[in-house]
Amino acid sequence: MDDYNLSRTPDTHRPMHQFIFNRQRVAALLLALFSGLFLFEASSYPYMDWIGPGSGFFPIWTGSLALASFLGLALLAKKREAAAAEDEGERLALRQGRLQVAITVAALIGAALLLEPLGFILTSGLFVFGLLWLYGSRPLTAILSGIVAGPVLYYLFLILHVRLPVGILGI
Amino acid sequence: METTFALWLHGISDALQPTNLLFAFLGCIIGTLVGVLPGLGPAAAMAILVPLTYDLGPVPAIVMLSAIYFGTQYGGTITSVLVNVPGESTSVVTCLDGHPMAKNGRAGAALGIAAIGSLFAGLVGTFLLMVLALPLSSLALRFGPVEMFALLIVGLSLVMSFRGGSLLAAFAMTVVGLMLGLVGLDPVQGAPRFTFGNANLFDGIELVTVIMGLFGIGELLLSLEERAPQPITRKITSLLPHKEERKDAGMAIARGTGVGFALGIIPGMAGIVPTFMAYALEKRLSKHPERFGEGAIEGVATAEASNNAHAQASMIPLLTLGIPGTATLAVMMGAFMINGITPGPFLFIDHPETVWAVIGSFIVGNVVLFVLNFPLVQVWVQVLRIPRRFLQAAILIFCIIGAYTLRQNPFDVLVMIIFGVIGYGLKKLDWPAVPLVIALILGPLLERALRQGLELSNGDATVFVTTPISAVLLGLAVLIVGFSLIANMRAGKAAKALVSNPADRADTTS
Repeated sequence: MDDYNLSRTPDTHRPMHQFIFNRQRVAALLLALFSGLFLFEASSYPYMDWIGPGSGFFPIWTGSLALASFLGLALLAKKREAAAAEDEGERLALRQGRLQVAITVAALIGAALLLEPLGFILTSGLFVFGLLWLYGSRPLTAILSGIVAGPVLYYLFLILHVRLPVGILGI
Repeated sequence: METTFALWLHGISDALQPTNLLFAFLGCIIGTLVGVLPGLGPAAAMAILVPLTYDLGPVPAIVMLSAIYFGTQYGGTITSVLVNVPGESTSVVTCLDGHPMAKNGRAGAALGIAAIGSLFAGLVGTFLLMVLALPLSSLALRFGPVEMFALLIVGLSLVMSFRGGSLLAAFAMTVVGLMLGLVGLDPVQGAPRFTFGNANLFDGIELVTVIMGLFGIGELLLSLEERAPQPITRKITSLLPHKEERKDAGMAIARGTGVGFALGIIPGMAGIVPTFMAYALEKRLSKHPERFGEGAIEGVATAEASNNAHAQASMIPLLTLGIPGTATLAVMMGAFMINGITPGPFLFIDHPETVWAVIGSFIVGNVVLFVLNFPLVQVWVQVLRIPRRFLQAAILIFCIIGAYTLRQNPFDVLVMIIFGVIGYGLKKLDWPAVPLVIALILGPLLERALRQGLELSNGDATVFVTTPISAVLLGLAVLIVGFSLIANMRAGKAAKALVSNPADRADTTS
C-alpha cells in the first residue's frame, strides 16, 4: 500500500555532499553566463541622467557583482570527496526519486497550462488523480480523490470569496 | 507614556473583537495543521495560505496570518518532536531533545513544555515589542535615504552572514535576489526594466510565488527523493510535565526568552543562531549536561522559548524599519503590502489602529494557540498518520491555487514552478535561498535609497561614509562580514583537519 508505483527502495537518505560533487562549478558557470546576459541588458538602460543615477545604474553594479561572485564560486568550487560507494539499490532509488521529481514538475506545468482552458475542477481532478496514481495509490483511490478534490476545493474557496477559473465546459 | 498605554489597550481590545478573535482561532488551527505536515516550513505554509486572507480586510487578514505564523511554528514543533523532521532550521534544536523524549514515551511532556515556553516567550516578546516599537520607529523616521541605504546594507550583511555555509554563495544568492528585484518598473522613474515586453512582468516578480516555489515546491521535490520518516503516533495522554520537569524547565524558558529576544531584534538575524546559543547556554549551566541530546526537557524548553521570542523580536525590524529578517517575515511583509500597508517607520503614523491591533493580536494569538493545543494535540498526531502522498498532492494543489489567485493569472503558477525547480537545485548545491528572498524584497528599497542619496549629494558617493550614522552602519556591516569570513575560514580549516585525520572524526561523531 505504501509502495510507490515507481517502486522505490526505502533507504534513500543520503548525505548532501554526495549530490554537490562538482555540480557547484557547472551551476556557477551557468549563473555567471546568466549574469553576463543580465549585464548586457542592463547596459541598454541609461547609467546616468540629468538628475543623477539612471535606471541602468543599479542593474550594472548588481550584474557586475553577480558575475564576479559566480566566477569566484566557479573558481573556488572544489571537487568534493565522494562518500562511500553507492550500492545498486541506492542508485536505483535515487534514479526513481529523480524520475518522480521530473514527473511532478511536468504535472505542475501541465496543470498551469490547463487551468484556464479546462477550469479548476477538471484540472485539479486530473492533477490529483495523476499524482496519486504515480505516487503509489490504488487507481480507485486515486480516481475517487480526483473526483472529490476539485469540487470540494472550488466551493471552499468560493465561500472565502476566492474565485477559481471556470473552463470551456462551464465547470 | 499614557498615550502609548492607551494605544496598547486599544490594540488589544481591537484584537479581541469577535471577528478578529474568530480569525485568530481559524489561523491557529489552519497554521498548526499545515505546520504539522513534514517538510513544509512556516514560510511556505504561510505563502500557501495567504490567498485565504485576500477578502478579509487589513486587520482580520493580518490577525489571521499572524495566527497562522504562530500555528505553523507550533505545528513544526509537533513534527520535530514526533517525526524528528524539523519544519525549519530553528526546529533542529527542538529535535535534539524533543524526539528522544518522544521515544522515551514523554512526547506529551515535550509538546506541553514547548507550548508553555512558547506562550511565555510570546507574551514577554510581545510586551517588549510594544515597548520598543514606537521609540525605534521614531528613530528610524530621522533616517534619510543615505542612512536607510546603510541600514539596508547592514540587514543584508546579517542575512548573508548568519546562515552558516559558504559566505560567497550567500553573497551570490543575495545579488541574484537584487537582480530579480529589478524586474518590473524602475522604482524612481517608472520605466520598465528586464520585462522583455511581457506585461506580466511589469509589476515585478511576485514575492509569494517565489516563496511558494523555493520553500514549498522545492522542499516537496526534494522530499520525493527521501524515505518517508516514521512518526511516533502513540496516544498522548497528558501534556503536563512532571513537577520535577517543570522546575528544570522554568529557568530554561526564561533564559531562552532573553537570548531569543536580544538577538531577534537584530535585523536579519536567523532564528537558528539564538536557538543554538540558548541551547548551548542551557547545557553549560546545567548540572547534568550529559542529558542534553538524550531527552532533556530543558533543551526543548529553551529552544522553543528562544524560537518564539525571536519570532516576536524579529517583528520589530519588520514593523519599524521594514526589514524582514526571515523568509516567513518576508511573506508577512508581502501580506501587509497586499493589504495596502507598507511596514516601516511610517507604519505607526499612517496606520496606527491597524498596527496596534496587529500587535495586540500577537498576544491573543499566542493565548489562543496555547488553549487550542491542549485539546487538539491528538488530532495533530492523527494528521501525521495520513499517507505522505495525499499530503504531497494537497500541498501541490494549494500551491497552484495560491499562485493563481494572486492575480488570477496562470503565469504566476509557471513562475512558482520555475522557482520550485530553482529551490530544489539550490538545496542540491547547498546554496542558501533565504538571502535571495530577503534581497528580492529589499532590492527596490536599496536601489531607491542609493539613487536618492546620490541625487541629494550631486553624485558624490562619499556621502555614505561622511554622514555619521551611515558611516557607523556601514562600518558595522564590514565588521559583520569580516567576522563571518573569519568564522567561515576557521570552519573550513576544521573540516579539512577532520578529513585529513579520520581519528578526530571518529572522536567527534562518537
